Amino acid sequence: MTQLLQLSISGLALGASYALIALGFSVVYRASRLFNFAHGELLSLGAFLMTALVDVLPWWLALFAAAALTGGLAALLERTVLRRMVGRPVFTTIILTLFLGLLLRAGIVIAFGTDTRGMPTPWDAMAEVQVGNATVLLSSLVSLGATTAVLVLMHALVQRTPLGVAMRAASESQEVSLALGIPVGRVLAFTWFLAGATAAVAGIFLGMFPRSVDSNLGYVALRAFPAIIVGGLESVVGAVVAAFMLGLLEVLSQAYVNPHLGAFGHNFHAVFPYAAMILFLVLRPRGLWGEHEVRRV
Amino acid sequence: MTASSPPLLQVRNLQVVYHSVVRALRGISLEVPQQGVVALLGPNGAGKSTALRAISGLLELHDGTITKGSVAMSGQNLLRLPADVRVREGVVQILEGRRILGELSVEENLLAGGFGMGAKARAELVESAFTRFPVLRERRRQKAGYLSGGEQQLLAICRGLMRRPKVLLLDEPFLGLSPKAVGEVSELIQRISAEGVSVLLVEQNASVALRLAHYGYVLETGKVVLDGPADRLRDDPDVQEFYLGFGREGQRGYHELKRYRRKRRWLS
Repeated sequence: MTQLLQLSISGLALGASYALIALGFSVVYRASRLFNFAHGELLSLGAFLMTALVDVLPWWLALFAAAALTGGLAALLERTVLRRMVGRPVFTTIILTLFLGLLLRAGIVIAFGTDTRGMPTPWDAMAEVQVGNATVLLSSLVSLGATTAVLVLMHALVQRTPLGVAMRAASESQEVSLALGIPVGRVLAFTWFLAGATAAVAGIFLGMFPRSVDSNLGYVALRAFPAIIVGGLESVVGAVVAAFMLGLLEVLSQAYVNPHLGAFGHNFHAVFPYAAMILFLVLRPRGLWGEHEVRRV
Repeated sequence: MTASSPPLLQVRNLQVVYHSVVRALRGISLEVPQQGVVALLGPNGAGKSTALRAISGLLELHDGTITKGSVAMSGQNLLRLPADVRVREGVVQILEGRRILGELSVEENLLAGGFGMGAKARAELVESAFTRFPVLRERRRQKAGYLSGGEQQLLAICRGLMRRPKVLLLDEPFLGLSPKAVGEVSELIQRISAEGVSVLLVEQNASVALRLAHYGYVLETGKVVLDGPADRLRDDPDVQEFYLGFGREGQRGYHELKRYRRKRRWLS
């Protein structure tokens, strides 16, 4: 029981980071109709920027600065490169974002080197706290709390503010939004900014002990990918819920499933989310929350 | 229309090409006065929607370019402004087919129409839309996609009114509506016009359009072939025959059909 609680908390903390990644993927897909395969590198960039910025700024300020810089870069990529690709075949945009991801990755290695870095924390990185009988890393709890707070803020922004209404309007129809006087270009750039900033936050918390920051951190974004498929491409909420579930599943299967599989079970938990994704693609391709389009003719 | 007051909207010799090859407008000129309803009539593909898009700035999205001519509002050149700025200057187009944002609630549709305005002004305008049509208030939290066709068209026009437009460009507002809804929408158009908003109305349904309008232009294959006060157009034998569906004394033999073809050639 104690172990289950302990694992559940670290699973949810992992899931919360996946949720932030999935959120970024999903809002960008809805706004620009493309899969941003460079998203993982944005996450990695955010984490590296953070390791550098904490030297000159207080920790919380460095967090905001890293998120803002990464978001700014994402908005820049949208404005300069990807906006021209609207309406082009999906294949083209996939290749393009993969390429942008490689460029970013190369840039990160040039700027920050290939050494593995620890993510600095204002608290003792290895501090533990008691939750009931379970002992949990303080970092896990903080990252669960902080990423959940960001998710709630994003939800409030999109659902409750005029800017959120404009974002949803622009993702439903750019022509209608323009005809309503919404500056669609700026709204799109802002959407990408949010995606980049949340990716950076996810990267920063994913880089904390027991994990670390290296140039492969970006690949974690691929692990959030099944969440988007399972949750439903069109549904941000679905992707977020599925991300939490997959984080939990990953950690729990590592403890409870892997040992029973013998040699085959080594790292099986990493495959588990993809197995779930394939199952969903076969049984329910539009995902858990995939929306039926409301249409009346 | 009177010589004393200058027109609100002035289109001069406008030429538009789609995909760099398809000529949609071959030099049209038209004017919308400070107040009143102007109808733009014509068959499918005559260039009516193209004219509206050129005025509202939505041509670019359809890969259309203006190759010649000018569009000005109160003397200000509109062609340099991007679409969203033109809307905020008071040139609002209500797109063909209602184009409600179906995933947003009724209220959010109105709010989207007031993006960037002060919160108080926006709330007042939403309130005035609700006062106009209580059914919109009743369904404010519902997804707008669930409204009936007529309600959607009313919402689309109210959403456009959020900008307090100087001129409203209506693209086939009666398309696919029930007779009752046609009545409601034309009543709304009359009221808007009485409130001082100029209206440029594109319609294939010439009889409804000419009942609402004070002045009309007939467009065929990208050119204005006929224009005049609405009552004169209504009485024009060609308009009656081609757009209002009256045959001469109801006789429509084969020779009539031939005459129709001949006249069409003459018209274009």
